[in-house]
Amino acid sequence: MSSIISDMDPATAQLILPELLMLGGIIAMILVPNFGDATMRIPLTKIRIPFLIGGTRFATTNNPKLPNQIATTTLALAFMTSLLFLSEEGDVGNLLHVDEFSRMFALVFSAALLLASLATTVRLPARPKASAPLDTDSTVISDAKVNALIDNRRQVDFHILLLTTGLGMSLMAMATNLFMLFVCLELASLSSYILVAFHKENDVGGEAGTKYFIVGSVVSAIGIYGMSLLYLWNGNLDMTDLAASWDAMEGMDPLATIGVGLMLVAFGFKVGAAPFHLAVPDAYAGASSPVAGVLATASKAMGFVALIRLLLVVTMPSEGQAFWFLALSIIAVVTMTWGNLAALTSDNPKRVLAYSSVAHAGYMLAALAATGSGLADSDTSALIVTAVVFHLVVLVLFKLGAFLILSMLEAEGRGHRMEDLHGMGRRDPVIAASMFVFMLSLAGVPPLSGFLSKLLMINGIVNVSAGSGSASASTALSWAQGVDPVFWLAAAIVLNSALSLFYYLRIVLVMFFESPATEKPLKRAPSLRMAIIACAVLTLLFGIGPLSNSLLDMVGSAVDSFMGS
Amino acid sequence: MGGERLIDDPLSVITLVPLAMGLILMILPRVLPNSSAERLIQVSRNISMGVALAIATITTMLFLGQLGSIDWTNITQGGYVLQNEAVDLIPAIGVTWKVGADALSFPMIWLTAILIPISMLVEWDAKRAHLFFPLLLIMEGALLGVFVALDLFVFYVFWELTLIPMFLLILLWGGEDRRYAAMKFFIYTFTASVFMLIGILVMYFHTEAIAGLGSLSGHHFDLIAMTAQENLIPNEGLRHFVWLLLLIGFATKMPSVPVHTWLPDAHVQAPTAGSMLLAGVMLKMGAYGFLRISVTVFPESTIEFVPLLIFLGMVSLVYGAWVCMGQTNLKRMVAYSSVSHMGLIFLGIATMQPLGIAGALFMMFAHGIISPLLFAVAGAFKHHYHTLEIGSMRGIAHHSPWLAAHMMLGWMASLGLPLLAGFVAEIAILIAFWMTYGWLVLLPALTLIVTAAYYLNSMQRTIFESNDSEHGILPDTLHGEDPSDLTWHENAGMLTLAAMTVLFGIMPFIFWDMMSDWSSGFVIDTMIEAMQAQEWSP
Amino acid sequence: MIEASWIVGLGVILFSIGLLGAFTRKNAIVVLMCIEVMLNAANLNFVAGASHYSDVDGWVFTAIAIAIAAAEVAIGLAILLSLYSTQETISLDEANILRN
Repeated sequence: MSSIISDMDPATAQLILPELLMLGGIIAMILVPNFGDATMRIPLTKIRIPFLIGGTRFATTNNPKLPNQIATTTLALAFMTSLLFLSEEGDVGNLLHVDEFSRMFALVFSAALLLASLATTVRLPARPKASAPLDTDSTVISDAKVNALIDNRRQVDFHILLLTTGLGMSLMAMATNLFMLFVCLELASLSSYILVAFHKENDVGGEAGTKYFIVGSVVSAIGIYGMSLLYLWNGNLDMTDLAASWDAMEGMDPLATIGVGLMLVAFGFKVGAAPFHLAVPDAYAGASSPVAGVLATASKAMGFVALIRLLLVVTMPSEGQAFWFLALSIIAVVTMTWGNLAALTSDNPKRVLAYSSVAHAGYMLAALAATGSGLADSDTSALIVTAVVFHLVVLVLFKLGAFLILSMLEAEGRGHRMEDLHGMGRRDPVIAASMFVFMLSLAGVPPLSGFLSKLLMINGIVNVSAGSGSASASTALSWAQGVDPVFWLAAAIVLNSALSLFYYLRIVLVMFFESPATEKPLKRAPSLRMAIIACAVLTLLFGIGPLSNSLLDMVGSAVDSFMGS
Repeated sequence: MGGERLIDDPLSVITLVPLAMGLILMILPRVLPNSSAERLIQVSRNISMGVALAIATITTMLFLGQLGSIDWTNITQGGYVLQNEAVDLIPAIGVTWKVGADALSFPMIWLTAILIPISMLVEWDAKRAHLFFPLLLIMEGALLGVFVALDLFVFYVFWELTLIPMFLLILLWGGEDRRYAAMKFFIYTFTASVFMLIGILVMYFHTEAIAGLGSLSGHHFDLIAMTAQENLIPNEGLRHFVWLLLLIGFATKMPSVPVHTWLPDAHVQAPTAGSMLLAGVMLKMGAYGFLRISVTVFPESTIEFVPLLIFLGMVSLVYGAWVCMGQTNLKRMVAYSSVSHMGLIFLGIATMQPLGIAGALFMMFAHGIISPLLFAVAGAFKHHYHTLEIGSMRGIAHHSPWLAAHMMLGWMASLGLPLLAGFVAEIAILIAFWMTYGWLVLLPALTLIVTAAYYLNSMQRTIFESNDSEHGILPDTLHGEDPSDLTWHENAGMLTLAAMTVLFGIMPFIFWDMMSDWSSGFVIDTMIEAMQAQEWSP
Repeated sequence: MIEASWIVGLGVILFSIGLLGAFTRKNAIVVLMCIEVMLNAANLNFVAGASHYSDVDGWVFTAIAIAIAAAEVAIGLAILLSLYSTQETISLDEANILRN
């Protein structure tokens, strides 16, 4: 084992540059707002040199907007460096391996967090001009002033947590050791528990945080226990080594099987699969919208990386059906159906989005399940993983975009009831049009990117089941009886998508057909508005045309780098 | 042929230019600084009209220059003219930008290109013109896209895209109940197209990868290759299922009973230009898609389901005509008469004969000029008489001679009087139907005759008859004032349509030759084999 | 020297106790304690594995897992405080304003 110091040569530093940047951002976030004009006297002389930490803060470091700027810059830099060094590949120590696959996910994570950070300027505004309340102020004004001061105080906390979440997630995507993977997952999870509870303006924040935290920690304790069983079984937790032992295993070793099963519970919770999804809608509804958006996109992507690594790297048998195929298929179908049915009955747009996110997890799980059916060749498996990764990438655009729009509503103290969306088409046509795009993309309507990813997933499943179903059968029914069970996963996705149209269209329809409570346009928030419009435009561009194809190529080569290794 | 072309790829140009121009005209005023935005808004109506006219000119030139001299019987199945070099859109899943025209789509393309400037002209004084006219341009691009696309993905995208401008036209410029009508329109057509999408996807998953397409997925959306692939869906039951899914999508758009109920509401609430395009072109998308996809790719299933087609056609025809008689609202009347005419199209296709299919094609075209004329008349009624309830009016010819003349001509054409465009189509379909199904033809024929008599009588009363020769009976909405006659632009638009109605009544061969040639080729290429395989005879 | 299997057996018992408690108890603090018990069961496994395979990784895992557990408790208590300040309860059953 080489020492850490010798590993930190420039080439390695470049490999993990985005992560180093995030780390730097965290340190800067702690230090910079404390910079002041303090000086230090060199002992025995009268020379005072600037000491920076402490004293009266400078105008720039005193600005409450600073943490947001640091976070946004850091995440933007991390995003750009990830993009720049996308094809760099190499080991960092013996716990991390950087390749296109992990870089792709670093892109997803930093993009999602960047958008959340942008949205925070509206959702949790910093107010440089805030002042202490005067005795002469009325209660209302004094409350407002106090809230403004509190908002200013919270800036650093919130943004530091965003960065730690990002750091944990992107390190996690490159972990080659199961334990490392879990530690990074915990770093991101623990940060996100606090972010969920951060929403303190009303009573729901604490409750949402508590529920999310309790369920999350129980399942992660289960996961760690499962991992410890794997350790007992194999003697180390390196994933390639585990995979080799798994392949060599005769029959099913109970220790290994139970271990993997327990870990699946933990990762299943991260992606919001049934029956561990019950905390998801509560958490999303209670968290502020940008955070809920991060949970629905980045956090879900994180869960899927872990699942893909565990299922496709460690436990994929070289031939025949994987032991998790049936269980995962059932979970997938239950998850998507449950999610869609619950979304249909919900009256809170955030809950609708939360349940829709559960449903989307179901679609992706179904696609992953198909790889374990024992019928998939390597091309088909690559297609399916490409589809899932592509879906996770574009999900950042339209799912998070929808949450960003909700966060604009939240900034005016609304956004928790369907009525708050009423008449958006009249109040703010551009935002309503973007929401329209997001909803259609979530529903999977061509030519939006949501359709492309769903089509690829269905395509993968259908290719797996290709050739089954007798061509000579004379009726559709007898044909259906002859088809391989995997096919029904595709059918379930199609039926569920059709079902989901109803609640997505409902949101669209209330935006255009109901009368708003107020005619006032939404807050201007130019940066967030630009972000939302950019999301909407990219949702379209990644759905059809050359840009979508280059993204597909990018994801495809990332998946190749993963499947090839 | 290539060297003579003025524009290299005319079909892409006529599709994409209006889309782009419409979008630019809508977005630019929001982006530009105030003063230039104002100026742009003032001229955006003229620019839109200019673009629409240019496209109408290009399309007409195409017809006069090249298409007129083509021997359509040789353009066999899967043969298209004016095809472009396919441009890859998403090669990984096999989506290409591939356009082409044939005798099925070209009349529709020309019709769209002509109708857009006319409907702009009729609504020349529309409110919020800086949004209205660009929206019509977007509509034009979307409609043309449906008719030229030879890739099912692109076809579906344009199919859905037509919904958005029409939805906005109804919602923003519609009548009092516009929200309900727009919502109903959207939900009906959107839901139906989801069924269609599922059908298309099943077809997609049965395609085999062709060179350079579908590198990732192993499938493609290319319609020509789908048609060429032997036995696209080998399983018979599944094939029928797909055919039915597609039928749901197309029949709702046409619309056919029992999924027609969105149409009257949408028409009544839509602005005049919206109604004209809805009836003139959008309804034809259903029939077009049916012929282009269902019949072309699955002739066996079509033959299998001929009884269903006849049933749907008959019910639509009779029910539409019957309900139409009970209406007092002019737009509702025209809407139900449209349902009735669309039933005839199904009957024409169900004959499985060149004559019947050509009749159906001509019906699509003729109805595409007659119903806009009638909707323009209805719009003018709304404009000058402030009501659409014409049942109680008498003797309007005295006040609005031009309006009365157009209305009379429109109804006569719609009812299929000889020497007007509708006659050719109806008689062709009826003859073909008689040749195939014998005396079953009595039902449609009698329906047509009875309704014709009824309408001519009631129109005659509304327009001419009057106890009081000075004033007639005018609606209360005028508050005793005398109504005005058509404005110059309304009249210009209607005169063009009326002239076309007469022109294609007297000289149907302009399009008829091309349609009947194509139909013969189509039946021979596509149907015969399938008919023999199924031992089908009427 | 105690056999590794005995340690693992103890771990199983601890894990079961923790899991059972986490699902049945309503008091959030008690649930938190149950989670700690489960984490300790995992730690025991790591220790057992480390001694069985004479592998130093297991000790490292244990140390890090203890650190994670500590962080989890700190965060958990903070979140519970925030719940208590708004709803004046830490019972998981009584906190239910989020149900629609």
